Amino acid sequence: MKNTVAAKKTPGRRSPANLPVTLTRHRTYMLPTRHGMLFFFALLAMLVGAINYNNNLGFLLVFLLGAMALVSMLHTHRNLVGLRLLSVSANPVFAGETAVFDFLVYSESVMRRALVFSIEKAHQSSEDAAPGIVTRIPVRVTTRERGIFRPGPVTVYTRFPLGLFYTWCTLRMELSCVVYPKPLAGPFQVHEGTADGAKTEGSGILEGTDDFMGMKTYQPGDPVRRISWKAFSRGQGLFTKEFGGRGQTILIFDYNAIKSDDTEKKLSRLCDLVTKAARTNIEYGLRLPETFIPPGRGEQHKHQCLKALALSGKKEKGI
Amino acid sequence: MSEQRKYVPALTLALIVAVIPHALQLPLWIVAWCSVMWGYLLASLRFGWPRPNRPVRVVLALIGIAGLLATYSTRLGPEAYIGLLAIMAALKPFESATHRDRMITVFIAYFIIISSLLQTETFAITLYMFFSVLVTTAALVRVNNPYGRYRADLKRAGMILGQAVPLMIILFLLFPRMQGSLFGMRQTGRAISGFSEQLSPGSVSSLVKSDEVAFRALFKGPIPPADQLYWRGVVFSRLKNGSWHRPKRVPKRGEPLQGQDPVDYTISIEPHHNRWIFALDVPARAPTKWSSLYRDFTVQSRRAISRKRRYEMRSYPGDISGRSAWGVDAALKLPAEGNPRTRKLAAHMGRDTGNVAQIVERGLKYLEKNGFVYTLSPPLLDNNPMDTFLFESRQGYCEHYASAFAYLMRAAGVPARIVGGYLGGERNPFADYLIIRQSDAHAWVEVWSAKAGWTRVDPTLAVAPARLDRGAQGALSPGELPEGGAGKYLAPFQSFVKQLQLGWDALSLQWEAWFHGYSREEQQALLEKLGIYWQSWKGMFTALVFGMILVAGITGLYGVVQFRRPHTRKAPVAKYYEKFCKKLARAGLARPADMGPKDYAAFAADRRPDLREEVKTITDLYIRMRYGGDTHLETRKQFIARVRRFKPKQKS
Repeated sequence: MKNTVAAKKTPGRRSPANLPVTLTRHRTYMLPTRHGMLFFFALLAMLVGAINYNNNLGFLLVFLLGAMALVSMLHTHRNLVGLRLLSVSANPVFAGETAVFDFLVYSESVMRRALVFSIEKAHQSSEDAAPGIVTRIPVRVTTRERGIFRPGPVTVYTRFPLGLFYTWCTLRMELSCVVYPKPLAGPFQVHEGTADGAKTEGSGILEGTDDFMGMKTYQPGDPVRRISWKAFSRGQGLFTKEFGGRGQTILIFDYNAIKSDDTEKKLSRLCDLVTKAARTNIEYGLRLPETFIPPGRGEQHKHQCLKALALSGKKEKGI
Repeated sequence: MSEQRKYVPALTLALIVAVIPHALQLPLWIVAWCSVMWGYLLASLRFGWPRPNRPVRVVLALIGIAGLLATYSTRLGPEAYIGLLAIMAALKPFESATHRDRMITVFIAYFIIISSLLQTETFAITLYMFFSVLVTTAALVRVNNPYGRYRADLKRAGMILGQAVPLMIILFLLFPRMQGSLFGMRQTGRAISGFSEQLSPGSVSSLVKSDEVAFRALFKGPIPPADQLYWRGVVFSRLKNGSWHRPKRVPKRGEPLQGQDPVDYTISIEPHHNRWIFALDVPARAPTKWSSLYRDFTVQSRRAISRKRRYEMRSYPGDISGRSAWGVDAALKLPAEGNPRTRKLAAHMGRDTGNVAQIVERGLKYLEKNGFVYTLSPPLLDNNPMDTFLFESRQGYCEHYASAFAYLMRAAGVPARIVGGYLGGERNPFADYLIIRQSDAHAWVEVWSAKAGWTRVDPTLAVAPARLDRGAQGALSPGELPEGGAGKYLAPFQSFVKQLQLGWDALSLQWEAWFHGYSREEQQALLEKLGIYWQSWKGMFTALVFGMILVAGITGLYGVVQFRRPHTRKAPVAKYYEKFCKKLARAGLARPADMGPKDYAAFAADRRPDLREEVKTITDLYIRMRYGGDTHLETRKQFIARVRRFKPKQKS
């Protein structure tokens, strides 16, 4: 609870903030907004009017509005300073999708309103943070390419309550999100029968299609080849034929087995295959130029494969 | 759509509140225009009617401006400007799709508020200003706080307003004031009833029906007796075509008048768009540099009085020394012919004596004895008006009596002129001052004699002596003055309502006396008390710096107070959880820094199975409140009670 990371005060470039971090006074800045400037000039015009007419009531209003603007500056400041960022996390996404960074923030005793978290200037909606509870603030950023997405600094800002002042805190944080390759749809079977038939992991083909075991209801992702078209034509619905081979069906998706010159395309195809395989009960493995992932199953395994695809050929090795 | 619903009602409310003070001055069609636009807008939110798109809005704006030009074509002054603001204000909320639009709408509302202040400066409008600033600021908070509720926004706006008031007061007191104006002023305002440059039958009696306040007078000493409360305004001495005029040129009187028993008082005059300054008969001197005392003993301002003003006055209601003979010749002039019977009567009155007092006495006696009636609705007088009045109709109001009497005196060879002003006034018991209303308007006569100089004669009193201390209401026969439609039903409350009105009036006067009087001189006096003399630029600079330091200081103080609070007022939930941790630590189960509440509970339960239940309950409650968003008071109470009861004994 008490492990507040004090902001390191180094001139010039700040070192990246480690979470949790408190938005201290030293980290926040404030400037009038464009509307604040407009308001200021409007007040000036009103003041000239009041002087001209020597109108005490006019003076009173101008000074009231001016003082309110001044007080609102404190309110704006207080709305941001002291906010604690506890953690940030993001679930992996496919390239081109929107990554959602979930910030967990905590406000000790101040109701904070209309806070905006912005990454890479992306337009964000504002959120409130009630005192005494942890608030989750999602921030959306669109990803472009596979790999580890490390967006630029996070800016937390607010214009509450009057919109005349803008206070912000820019944090250089180690944000990251795994971006899988964009799946490239295609047939589930990649390569029919290699020369080296004995080698089960030779390619992404199905092994042991010998013994017909029975029928099961079609699940999306089941190979089209195995659909019982006879049953379908009889109007019984879609069924998939199941075959039993030498026990378990094992697939190995091999980078080199994909026929394409484009590395990215190959990875996208593999990504598509992995996601499709993950929907079935099949054990699958992945062979990439730099790594081999032995066959397995489950969410964890899928993530491991997709992450390997995301990082293939990149300098970065994991988060 | 939901965006609109969130902001538009608050913005529209702000504009409505801002425009209300203008409603009376705006042409009716603009008021109707605003009502229709806002009514449609709010209804369209409610029922989902279509809202005008951009081209339609432009066309509407053009129509509005065309209407404005048609209304104000000849006088494009401040009133046209307010009309333009109102027309824009009516259309603007339709255009509130972007944050910028909404901010601009709020700024327009602020502008409308300040323009209402340039028109009127009453105490009521001051209070209303705070109200409309509050409503407008709440709209501004709303624009910047999409998830808030309106009541919370209003509360926030109130908080900011409240904190701004001390700063406002400092700035108001210390901001350097100038004398005169920057660019010259445009006179604004409607014609208000009051005296004009001429007096003809009906010009006073038309004022009597108005309850409007002409001015107020606050005396330093006791209020003088009723027969001295003649408020002098204009002197009419030129008779032309049956009406009395103020002479074209009246020279100024250089030196002040001298006399006995001076009465000092303060006049706060309502704007009447003429230059007269009313003063108790006879004013000693001009009250300010921008006004002068004239040789007919009237005081005039250099400019028309278009705003509330305050004057410190001195008068000699008794005798004045020094017999100014100015205007005596003019006060004898009569048209060459006309009104033969009046002339004959005058000749008869002055037949055997040159004694002014005796002739005046005879004149008054004539009015007293011949069945004259004091009335607001006399018959019309034909081409020999004095004859008709004195010998036939014998009904009239004070201007008829004054006019006939002055004519009679002149015909008898006594210099006479008419003075227009007010008589009496209502005493406000709350603050002991007089309220003089238009209904107190009066006209009387001054005659000149070598012995006594100009002497006041009030011929009306010969006919209606009650006018002196019971006012026009008391002197007229019942039913002549309108009582007001609501009067009948309010009769039981009337005295109470009257009390309220007088109380409010006293409060307003106190406020206005100080507030509107606060000018360069008062500011200098205040600063001199603080030891700052700013006749010089240096002094002015000191005052400015002083003001800035004060403002910065108070703002800083707010800042300090605000930033202390989070530390002193920790969320009680966290505080009690810490207490719980400390209790466990004393029992030998200190919490490692990196351990979350859940893990800590498991850790503690593992070491002390006897405490398992209690530790788990407390931790669950804590997690529910702190991370689960459970804000129920009951949960909190239970949590605090359990932490207090929690007593882990040290395991030996």
